[in-house]
Amino acid sequence: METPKQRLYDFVIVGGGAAGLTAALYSSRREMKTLIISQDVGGQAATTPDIENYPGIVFSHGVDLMETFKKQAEHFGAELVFDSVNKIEKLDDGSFGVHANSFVVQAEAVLLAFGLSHRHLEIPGEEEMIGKGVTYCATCDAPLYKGKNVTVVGGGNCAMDAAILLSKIAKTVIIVNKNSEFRGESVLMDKIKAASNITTMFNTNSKAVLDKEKKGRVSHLVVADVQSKKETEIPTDGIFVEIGFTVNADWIKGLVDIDERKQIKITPNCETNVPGIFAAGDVTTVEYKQVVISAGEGAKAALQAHAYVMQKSGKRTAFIDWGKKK
Amino acid sequence: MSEVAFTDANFQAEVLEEKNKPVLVDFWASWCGPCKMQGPIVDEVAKEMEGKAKVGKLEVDQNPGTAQQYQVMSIPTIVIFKGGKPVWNATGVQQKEKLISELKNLL
Repeated sequence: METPKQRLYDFVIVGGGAAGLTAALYSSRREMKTLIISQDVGGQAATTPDIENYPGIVFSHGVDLMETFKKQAEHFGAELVFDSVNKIEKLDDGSFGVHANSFVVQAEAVLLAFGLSHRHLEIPGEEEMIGKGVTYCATCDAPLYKGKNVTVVGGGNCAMDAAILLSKIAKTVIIVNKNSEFRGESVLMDKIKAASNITTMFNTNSKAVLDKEKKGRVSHLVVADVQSKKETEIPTDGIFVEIGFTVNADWIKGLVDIDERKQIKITPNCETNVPGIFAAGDVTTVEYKQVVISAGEGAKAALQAHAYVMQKSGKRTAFIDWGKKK
Repeated sequence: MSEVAFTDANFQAEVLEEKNKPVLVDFWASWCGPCKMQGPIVDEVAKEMEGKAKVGKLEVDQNPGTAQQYQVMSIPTIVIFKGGKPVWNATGVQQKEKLISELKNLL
């Protein structure tokens, strides 16, 4: 499972979320030898508890829907390995060398579909306490805080979702919000107001994570009033950081064009400025970050990559979806 | 099957009283997406380390006592025990090679 079966692929996909897995489904059905390199299966969608807006599926847990995406791609021959890609280089013959941590493969075309990563607070103590009370996945970790006192940092839909989920499990929930109001769906704001064990501190910045008793776990979150700068230590068992997402773009700097938000710039058919390198899903400049949109973008990217590879090898592109070779 | 299902009830006997082999415990739960990725990797580690190390899983929902005792606050968390003491741990999905090399260090 850990190393790819071959050294040469038609299409290497970086990222195994909705975009990457759908691209793999489409490229495999076009008989492109396809490899997905990903740190996980399903990306953000897999950590979404309930998905109710994917057409054709009335309700699914995110992780189950993404598992089906994966199975469907593998059914048509796509291969998935768990690893991280750290470098892509253009080779003399126009193909690409894709360097993962434990192997290198060659690809005729590459798809960047590695999505978004959780934004960190970047305050003292945070990194050291990851897994020791600091967490970025409320769906995964909320049930471990039964009867505890927890803090949620953030003020958008994700933070409100996390607080509502936690309010049913934990004893108390404090939301630390640097703004003067929530920004998101009013349905969620109403639920926050209705929950008797949620308190919100508005206009409050997070300053540091403490392990005061040196027990190897979070004890306090230090916060400060935005205006007076007065600091307070909130005793807490867990800190759920829900301040949005960012593109982890450092390793692609200089490879493809990115915008000021570090999102990869693409054409309507998912081409980057480098021929042969495509991008799809949340990592791109496409504004709306939704599972169904990422899936559609992944399909487009695969079809465009197929056309590119066919053209490069001097063959005509067929415009039908081949299906599985019998 | 080489893989063991650890519980609050058998933890003492299966993990803490295992004198010879290192024991790898994968703390997981059905609600956790990343745990579903970790599971098959741990299965492979169990197969590969058969006879050399004890490898198994502990479902935190059914067995809250052990999870609490070892301060498992994020899942998946993997803890390796040797001589009844936790000697290595990591949170988040861990790859097979890493786990095998950590176990081999303790042989």
